[in-house]
Amino acid sequence: MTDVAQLSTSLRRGTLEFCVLAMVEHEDRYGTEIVRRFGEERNLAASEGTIYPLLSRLRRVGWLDSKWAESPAGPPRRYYGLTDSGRSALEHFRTEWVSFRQTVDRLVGTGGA
Amino acid sequence: MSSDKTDDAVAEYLYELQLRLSGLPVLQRRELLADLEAHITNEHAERGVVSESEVLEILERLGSPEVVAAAAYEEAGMLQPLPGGRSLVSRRPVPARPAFAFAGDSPPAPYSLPPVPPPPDAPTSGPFPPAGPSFAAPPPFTGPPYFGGSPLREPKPAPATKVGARIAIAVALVAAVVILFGCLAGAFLATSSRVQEAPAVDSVPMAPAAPEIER
Repeated sequence: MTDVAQLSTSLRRGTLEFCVLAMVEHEDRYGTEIVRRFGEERNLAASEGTIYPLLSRLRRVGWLDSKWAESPAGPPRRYYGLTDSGRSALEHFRTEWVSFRQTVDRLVGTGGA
Repeated sequence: MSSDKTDDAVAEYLYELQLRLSGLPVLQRRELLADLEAHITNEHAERGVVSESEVLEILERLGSPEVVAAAAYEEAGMLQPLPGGRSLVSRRPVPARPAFAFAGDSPPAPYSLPPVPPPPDAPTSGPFPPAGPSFAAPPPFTGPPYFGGSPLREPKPAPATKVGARIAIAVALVAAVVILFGCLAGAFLATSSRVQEAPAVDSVPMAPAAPEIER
């Protein structure tokens, strides 16, 4: 059990942040929205609260920016958007990921027909 | 009533989390707490949450304060004060809190070992730079000399000679006493033998009779 949990944690590390970047690539989203979206993905299932520290780091390294906006109902929302450096980081990841995935598929035998 | 209860649950959750985040830079800590508070309020408003169990469900999806704090330290590139969130100890208030951790958490001894290094760091970077080194330096220097250096070499011979001298003196005294007793005994024997001779000498006076005889 711990091994399984460890594996999914390891796989998530280093990839989840680019999923976040991709999520706000075309439109700004607010924190709860991003968190909910991840909650729907069982493979990425992480405690929702752990997404906020991730958003914080991506903002600190300059890949995301955030701005507060009023919400129609409830408290103000913090909207996250992709910066230029975040956009190029995402593009770089896409290139790397494809070749990485192909290599792993070939070595592990998951390439399929 | 229920809203009070749910407010209590949220406040307690945020408080528990805040305790565990005390090692983070203040702005990151406040940002995370504000984000989570906004998240809870958002969920509250947008999902029309009313009951306490629904609020608890929101908190449960967020993850336990331990889990969230662990993620916060990891994303901040910092080591969490104590693994597993077993302790509320944070890294910054090192001087006081690890002491509690040592005192209280005796079972996780392996966990209490890592925090040992920080105390040395704390004095050097903290308000006691002179005190730390001065305290740290003397023991290594004074320690070995006292235990392995001159004190052992000098005192050791000294006690040995003293003991030897005392033994020699005692032996000499005993010998002197024995000799004295020997002399006394000899003297007594001599005197006693003379005493025995004395009668003989006394009988000698009978000898004068001889002269008388000689007469």
